[in-house]
Amino acid sequence: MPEPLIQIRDVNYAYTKEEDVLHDISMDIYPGEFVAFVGQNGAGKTTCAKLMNGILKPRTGEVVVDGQLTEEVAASVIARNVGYSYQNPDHQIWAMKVEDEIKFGPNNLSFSEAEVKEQVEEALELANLTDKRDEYTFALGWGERQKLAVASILAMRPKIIIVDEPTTGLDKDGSLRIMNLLQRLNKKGLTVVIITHDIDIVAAYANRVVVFAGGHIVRDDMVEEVMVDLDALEKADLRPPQHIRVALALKEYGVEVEMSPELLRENISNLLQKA
Amino acid sequence: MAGNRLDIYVEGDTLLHRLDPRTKIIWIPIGFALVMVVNHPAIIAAVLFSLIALALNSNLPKKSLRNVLSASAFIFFASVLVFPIYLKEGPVIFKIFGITYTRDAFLYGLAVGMRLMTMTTMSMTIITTTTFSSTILGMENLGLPYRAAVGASMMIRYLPTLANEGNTIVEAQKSRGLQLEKGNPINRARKYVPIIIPLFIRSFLLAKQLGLALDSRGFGLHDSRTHLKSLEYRKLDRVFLIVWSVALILGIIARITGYGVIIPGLL
Repeated sequence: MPEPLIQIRDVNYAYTKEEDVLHDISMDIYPGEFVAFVGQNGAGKTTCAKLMNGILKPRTGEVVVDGQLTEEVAASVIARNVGYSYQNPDHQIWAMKVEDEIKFGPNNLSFSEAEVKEQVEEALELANLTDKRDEYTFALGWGERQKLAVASILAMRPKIIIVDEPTTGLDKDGSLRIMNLLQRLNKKGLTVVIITHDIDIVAAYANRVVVFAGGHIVRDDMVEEVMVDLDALEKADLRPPQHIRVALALKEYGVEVEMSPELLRENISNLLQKA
Repeated sequence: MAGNRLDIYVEGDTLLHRLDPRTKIIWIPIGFALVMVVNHPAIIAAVLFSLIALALNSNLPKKSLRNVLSASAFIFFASVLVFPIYLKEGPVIFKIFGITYTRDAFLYGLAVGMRLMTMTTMSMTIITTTTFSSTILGMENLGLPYRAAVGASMMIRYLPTLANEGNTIVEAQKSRGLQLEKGNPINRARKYVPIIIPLFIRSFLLAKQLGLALDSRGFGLHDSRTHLKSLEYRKLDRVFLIVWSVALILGIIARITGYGVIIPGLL
């Protein structure tokens, strides 16, 4: 088993003195994983993700990123290892041209000029934005701004990328494009964490699912296990994908339907591509 | 998101809560004029401390008060440090790096710094003790057209929303390695460009969306409108305004007689 990239140990977090929004959270994120955080609004998904990139510091417990306690270093230092793409790309886009926007992160991290150039080219290519490098950032459509936000994080060459609600505001086609980009990156070895409500997306792309409800982790397991755990999903106000609901209903009538991880993934992918 | 306050108003039944919104609106120019007319730190300090006492009495969360005071603390210290560089009135206190610090210049810097703190504390105290609807009603009763009153109140109402947007943008840029705390003052100021541009764009978008939402619900169809509540000007309001008006008159007298002035000829 490789060393975890991120270790979260018995973490509690509160925005105000009155109430904790995260309760005794513990988990490890390993290199190469594709993890999905799911749960209702206010369940603690984004708060947990912000603890992972050091923007928030735990009230109790500890978060260790690549061997370093987040409490001891600034978020801008953790940015070298943990990239965080915010839900709304307009919260981070500020440069006039696409290429300048992507340069911003690596320049902040003091990479050499040659390294910045190389990383920007790589990020443009990965995000399929090479032909848009000279375009005005705010003239891009929402889906492309979303990709630009991800590309600007990729150019920093983090070990892990957290993408908050990657498919929000996108149609099915746009959602698939951004998710396929994240899948390609994951296959190249990048650890990916997504925060989402879209259970079809989770079933099709994630390997591991962490279900949040009321500031607690109610299930943290492989996707095929979580998708059939109706209790855990119900606690997070979620329902499994439709074909799993059909398969589970058939099971009640004595009809066994194969639900192997491979089949599950294939079915969902096929359905999404057709949609 | 949890932890982000989207409303500034603090519930309560304190002196400032009970005041008519018109009284509070009129109080602003009186209070501002009072601290502008004098430049003696002792007088401005007295006004500032009475305001802090009022703010604490009006249930204003200590954290909010601390935030307001610490936000203006930078300008306070800057004025204490910078004014003595340019003003040379009064006896010399000390010399540092070839710059002579005089007593009067130091006291003047102190006065200007506290002036700003007074203004921000006063504004914050009024905003936190007046509801959105009564602010509109107060402005309308003072003769402002309804649409302008809604616009002005909305500007105040959306301050926390914009502050939240600003916080998210700061977080997003820090996540991209931006180190706002490092560098000399000029470099640090330059680092705020990636914060200010998205904040402006978000503000314009928010204003546009808000305008469309108001239009789609028939806002502005009629120039005037009726209100469920009516305002009542009470003895408390009269006494409050008389006390502050007297304070302003005393301030003007202190200015004319020279008691309220540390450096004559300066505001």
